[in-house]
Amino acid sequence: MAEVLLPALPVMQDRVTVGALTLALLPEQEIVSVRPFKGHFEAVTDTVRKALGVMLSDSFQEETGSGGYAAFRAGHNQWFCRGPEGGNLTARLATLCDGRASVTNQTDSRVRLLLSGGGAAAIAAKLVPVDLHPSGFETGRVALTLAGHIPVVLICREPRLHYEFMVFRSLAQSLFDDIHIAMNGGIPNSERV
Amino acid sequence: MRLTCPHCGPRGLEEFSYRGDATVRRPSLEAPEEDWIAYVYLRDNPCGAHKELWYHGSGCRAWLVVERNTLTHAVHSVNAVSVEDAP
Repeated sequence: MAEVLLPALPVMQDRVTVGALTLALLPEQEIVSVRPFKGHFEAVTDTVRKALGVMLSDSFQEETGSGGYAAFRAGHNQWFCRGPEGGNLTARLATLCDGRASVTNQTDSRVRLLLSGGGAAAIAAKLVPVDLHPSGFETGRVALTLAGHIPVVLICREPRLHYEFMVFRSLAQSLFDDIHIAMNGGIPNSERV
Repeated sequence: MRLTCPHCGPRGLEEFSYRGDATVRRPSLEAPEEDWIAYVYLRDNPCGAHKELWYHGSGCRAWLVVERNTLTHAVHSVNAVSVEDAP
């Protein structure tokens, strides 16, 4: 009997390169959803700030702290906190929040892809209906949106050059293929219709 | 048309679904049948200011109340639904 089921690699290739563009699978991170209960927002924000050095902010920017921790708003009254793998983030936050927030581990639900290189913005713009111009979509800016038909969280790592896609694990291969097709100058999804 | 989602910022119409009139209110269980027929079937088609429910299904997946003008297409406010908005 298998004691541990190791998760399969979410995509068949972990890196593809087309000209100056690269699409790569990013290392796993611990991702935790934090949803403060009614009346406890301030206390939970304070707790997360002390523990991770990041605010639960209402802005569209990801807050980054020391130690590789970061947090961004992932919807109404919901924040995604993330940090290095093996940091036991979920258990720590659950203990610290002490029943004042719903703390749920999302590490296994999401996969991160990084699209890099000159023209990365143009490739990303083929897939998402969000204006990626650096004047509005600057470093750290987060957008919950669709890439084709796939729900993604798009994070700008560096305007025009580096874009991170956070995607459901079961849809990672599809998104990987769609971005790869776009990198090759094709039209994503066209071959499936 | 663009709606400025309170969670996501300005986004195109393709990310949203229209979910109906936000002003209708459920009648009491004892209300006459005419009130229930009006609640279930009858909707106004206002020319001017209107309050609508929209669903941001391709973004933050939140329900929103949009106040807009159906004549000028001006959008006056977009807010997340609150308890007071419950039909």
